[in-house]
Amino acid sequence: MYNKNLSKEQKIIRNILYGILAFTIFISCIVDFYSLIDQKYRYLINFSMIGIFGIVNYIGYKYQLINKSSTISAIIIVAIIVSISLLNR
Amino acid sequence: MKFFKLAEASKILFLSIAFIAIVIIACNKSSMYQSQTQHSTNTIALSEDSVFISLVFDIKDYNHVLSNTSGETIMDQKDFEFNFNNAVKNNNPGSKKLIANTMGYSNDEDFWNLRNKMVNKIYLLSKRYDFKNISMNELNNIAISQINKSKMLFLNNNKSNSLGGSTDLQSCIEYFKNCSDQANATYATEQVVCVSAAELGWTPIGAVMFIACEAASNYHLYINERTCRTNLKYCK
Repeated sequence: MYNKNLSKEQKIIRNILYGILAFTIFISCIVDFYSLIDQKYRYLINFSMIGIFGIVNYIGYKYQLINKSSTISAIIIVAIIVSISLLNR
Repeated sequence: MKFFKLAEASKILFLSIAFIAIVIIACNKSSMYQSQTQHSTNTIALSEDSVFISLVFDIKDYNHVLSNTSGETIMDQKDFEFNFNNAVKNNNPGSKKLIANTMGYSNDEDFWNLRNKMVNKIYLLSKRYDFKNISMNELNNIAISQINKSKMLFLNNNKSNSLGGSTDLQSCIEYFKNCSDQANATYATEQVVCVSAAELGWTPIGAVMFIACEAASNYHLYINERTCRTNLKYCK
């Protein structure tokens, strides 16, 4: 799915991206567990997470950490998740 | 080459700072909102408290009896205070009857029982809420709005009962659906983030990250749904 022969720089960037994603999930859970934000403004966190997803994909694609086929797979999986969520409404 | 690396690193740094800034702004907005609305939340919670609502109706009944009194037994303030203290502190039956009659009650037990109930409710409310921060004007307004609301609810219930439904139940179910939608939206967003973790590759860190992300996301959904069900259970 991904390019195995990575340079040192690419590996560093990939680890940074992992860190950003971990931090995003951490914030998302902590915010709800400790009621740090009013439920009215929960959508701000959700939109920020989607924005971060876009940024991570952009950086990943730019640094050749993600190839075309994995991008397409990700888009399909995201489309399925969104469809299921909308159908569950 | 060195400059290029520096530029790229600064870009990543900028993106990280932007993300942290978004989260901090969102949280700050919430905490500002919370501190600003803490007072109003307190008054809203008080206005929706069942003990407060029942106290308002007790006062209304009390007032209704008092306003319909014939005014045969009128005392001056000193006599009233003397008899009231005598009734409360010494449990004097004569003073009790006199005060009850002055307040328009023919049966003194009804008056003193109602008064004891009201005192207990006030004691309970004073434990739950900080009355120092609520002015008399605000209390008055909350009580008046509660009486008006109950009138509206009575009219609506009469309407909905004739249609075979309950307004309260409908609003509770609507609230539950909104809460459930919110939980699903959060779950979906977290799943999207988990996908992007997997997308970066099945390295050991990537695999651990993906599993942790899935676990957190599913547990988060479970907690959110449980909160929604609890809210529905205690929805009035």
